[in-house]
Amino acid sequence: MNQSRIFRVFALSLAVLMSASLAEEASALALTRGPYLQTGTSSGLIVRWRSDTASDSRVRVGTSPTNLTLTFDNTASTTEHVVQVSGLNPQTKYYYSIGSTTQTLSGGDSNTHFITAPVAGTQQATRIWVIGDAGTGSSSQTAVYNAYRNFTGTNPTHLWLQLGDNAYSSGTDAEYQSKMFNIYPDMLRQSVTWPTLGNHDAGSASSATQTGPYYNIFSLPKNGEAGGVASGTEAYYSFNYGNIHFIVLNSQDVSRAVGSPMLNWLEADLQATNADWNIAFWHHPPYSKGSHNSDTETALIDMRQNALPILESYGVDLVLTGHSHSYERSKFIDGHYGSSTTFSDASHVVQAGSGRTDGTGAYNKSAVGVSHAGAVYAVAGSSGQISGGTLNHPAMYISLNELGSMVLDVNGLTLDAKFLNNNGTVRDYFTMTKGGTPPPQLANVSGVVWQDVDADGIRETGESFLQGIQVKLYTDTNTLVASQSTNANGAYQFSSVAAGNYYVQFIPGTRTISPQNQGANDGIDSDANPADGKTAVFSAAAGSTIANVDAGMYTPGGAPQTVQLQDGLNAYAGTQDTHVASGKATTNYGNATTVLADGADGTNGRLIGLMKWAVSSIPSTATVTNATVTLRVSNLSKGTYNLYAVNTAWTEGGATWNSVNPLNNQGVLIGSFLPSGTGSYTIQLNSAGLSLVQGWVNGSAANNGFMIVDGGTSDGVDLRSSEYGTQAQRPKLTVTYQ
Amino acid sequence: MRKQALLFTVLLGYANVSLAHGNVHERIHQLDHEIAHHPKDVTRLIKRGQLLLDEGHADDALDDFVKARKLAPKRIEVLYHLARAQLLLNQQNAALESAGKFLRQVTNDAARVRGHVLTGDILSASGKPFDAGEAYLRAISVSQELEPDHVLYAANAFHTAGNTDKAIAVLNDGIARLGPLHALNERALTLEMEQKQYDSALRRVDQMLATRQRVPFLLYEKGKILKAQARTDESRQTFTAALKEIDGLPESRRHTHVFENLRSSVLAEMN
Repeated sequence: MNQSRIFRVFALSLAVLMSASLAEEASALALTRGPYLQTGTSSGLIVRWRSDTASDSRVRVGTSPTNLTLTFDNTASTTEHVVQVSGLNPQTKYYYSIGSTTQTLSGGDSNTHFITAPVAGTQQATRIWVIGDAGTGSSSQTAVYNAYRNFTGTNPTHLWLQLGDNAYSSGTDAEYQSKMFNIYPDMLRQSVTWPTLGNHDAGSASSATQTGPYYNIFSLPKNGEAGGVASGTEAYYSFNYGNIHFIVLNSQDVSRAVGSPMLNWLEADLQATNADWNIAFWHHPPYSKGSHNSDTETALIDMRQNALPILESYGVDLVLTGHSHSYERSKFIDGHYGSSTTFSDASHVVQAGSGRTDGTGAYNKSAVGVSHAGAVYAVAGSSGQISGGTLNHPAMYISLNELGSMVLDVNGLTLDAKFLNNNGTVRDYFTMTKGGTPPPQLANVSGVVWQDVDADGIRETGESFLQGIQVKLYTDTNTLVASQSTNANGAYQFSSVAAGNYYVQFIPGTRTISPQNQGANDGIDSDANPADGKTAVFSAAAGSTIANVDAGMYTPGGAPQTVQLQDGLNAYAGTQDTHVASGKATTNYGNATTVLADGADGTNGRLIGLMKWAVSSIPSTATVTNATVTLRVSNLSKGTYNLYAVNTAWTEGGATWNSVNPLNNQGVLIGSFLPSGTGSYTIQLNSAGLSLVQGWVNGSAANNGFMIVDGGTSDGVDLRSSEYGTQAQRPKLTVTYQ
Repeated sequence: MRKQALLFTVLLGYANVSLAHGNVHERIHQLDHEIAHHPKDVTRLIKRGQLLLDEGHADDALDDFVKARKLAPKRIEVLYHLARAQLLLNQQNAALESAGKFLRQVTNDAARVRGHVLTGDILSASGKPFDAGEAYLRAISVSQELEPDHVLYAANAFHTAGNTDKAIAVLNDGIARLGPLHALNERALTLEMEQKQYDSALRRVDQMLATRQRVPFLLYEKGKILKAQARTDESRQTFTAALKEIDGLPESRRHTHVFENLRSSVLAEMN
């Protein structure tokens, strides 16, 4: 934010302040936006936030949340706080707080921190989150975010990129509040975000005048503050992070012509960089057959014809865009500037294959900065919605009409990219390396562990997967190669192991391993020896995937038992259910005889149902093998409804939209149903659901029940609640365990 | 004022809002259908007009804007779009008139900037580069956030008009406001060389070299200036320094065609 904009914001804030009553002036400040981090460098960053009334600004920083020894002030009285933090050490975790010189508004805790960037040019492991067209404010956006949060866990996100259309439908300040700030509070607080302007953001912003919410909200390095050649405008800019140079272009509302200021700057910027990696991003994709067509739309054609030749001549590695609401990832290509019909593998593919180390091998460049050595172009515009399309651009290696985001891990001269969908599944991945010698082709070993209820060594329908079982990979000379635990789907995977001979050992704990190699179908049998948990030695050739290295386990002597938890049945009274309404955010509906879920109820806004059952009647040592939920639909429009774990505590008598904050506390998907009319529906919980119920039983997971959420439409459904008069129509949880 | 600017931006950019709801052509087709049922819906007409304009169908866009203007004469943003369409159709006089009406009616600086830039574009297309330069200068003068693009537009217009000194002055003023941007300095350097203003060009390239960015490229430029001044020894030393910079690059970068070309250019100047 330059001086003039600061002045405008200041003037506006001053006007607000002058019109405020004396009583308001005397009241304490409240935080209404942020904090969020901008223009991160190896020595500092900008901390921004918004308060309800004007004050001066103070950021306190330190290497411990309880010892914030550095103070950075801005004396201007404002509601839009912009504080430059400087003089920090590179690649260091700092905690911080924000507020005024007289009051701390937020932070000073373990959740409020950032990590400074490495010194430009140094090689440090870097994780980057990439979202495009995310700002819908829908449950889809939240699911994509939650999937990434679950995926990355405690691994820090060093920076995140927003590929445009960050706040639908016209990028107003209010839309940015509800569809960016309210959705990603922790990410904004902890990691620097770098945006580009999308067409929807441009609905309220103008690059020609640097005005509008986009330009007011973001503080971007137009003077080369974060590395790169100064562009003189926030409409397009560049920055460095360690050994990566990022180039952010504007494909929306500045000239994209050859010889235009932006493309002249681009060439100067590329001439100036010595980074190991060049990653460029903007909004309109040069190649897409999703909801937009790069053969016919002007902005897309311009970027392909005018920007790509410059980028490729300076050795760009990865280009990220959005606009089409899908995921489309190209082959490793170069020199394609025409329409899709002119693309040919023979002419444009630099290195064939998937780019996967466990497949045809990583994409490799002989060295850093080589011209026309190949690049990957990815459209990642499905972080808030999907819109289909033919998805058949011939430059693409894979095209998916799925919600999700991209995860980039750069480590030295290796770049790993993944597309993570909204359910947390990695749906695409590739690796790019530099340095002349491609890494060896590697093998992949995977399998599942399941609860073999009937102990027959065959995985039958209905038998659930086991989470947390330790699996070890050994060479045939008994050298331990790797060890891991099965995930919520009972799966494990040893990726990128060297070609060779191996065996796997399963550690069953108190369970017994099922009989080995029963039946004729290797896909559903148990491969471990019950005596020691070891499989036979197998050969993993370069580039091969050895799947179905599985194990069944059972609990000796434990016959399956089933319990039905439903208020009034066998004197059970442990159900809590209600719903919360965005339009009546402080209202509790705990006594209602219906539980509602609705994408857009005309009167009450969005409605989300909540349910949970006390499970203390099930022994805490039991292994849950199956679980279903039975719900009675009394009224509906149409549509699919999803069940998600709830990540926060609630009570039937106290739950409100504000207290539960459901869109920010939506956990894993555990099941769904598509009611076609009134009546009872039994929903089979998926493996994540079984793990969740298992956690409730053994105490490893808080029993916050689940939420019932519309499928992203305005459809609604009414369900009988536990207060409903007819006992048989109340919600029921049925659990089978051993 | 700020709210007005925001409102205006929304109005000008509103047609873009629908772009992401499917292929542009499908969206235009959809709007055809909607407008058939709501022929007096000005917002839809503007929306379709701008989509058509962005896709190069200026004649059809013009029809929509003319209709919108008749239906809602108080919606001044239509004048802006109308002028753009007229410009693309080579109706410069009409475009100038529409842009002029637009500028007379707008009440905020952001809109004025856009109006003046559009006027500059129209005058450039009309073969009146000096007037175009003045229009771009008016945009620059009312810009609260100066865009380097507008400085370059103004400088290029004055250069086309034969007033290269003024073009250089505009660039220098831009650099004074925006800082030493390579894009502006590069253009000024080219014009100074063209004007044989070697001393100022030398000062400029030394200032650019002080940033330590793009050093081999700038040493090549400096060598050319010195050569033009017949300072042969210094010129050769500078070209040699450029070659040394290239040789100092990692081997992989040194052998990219960008640096191979630069090396060839340096050697050609030395021979």
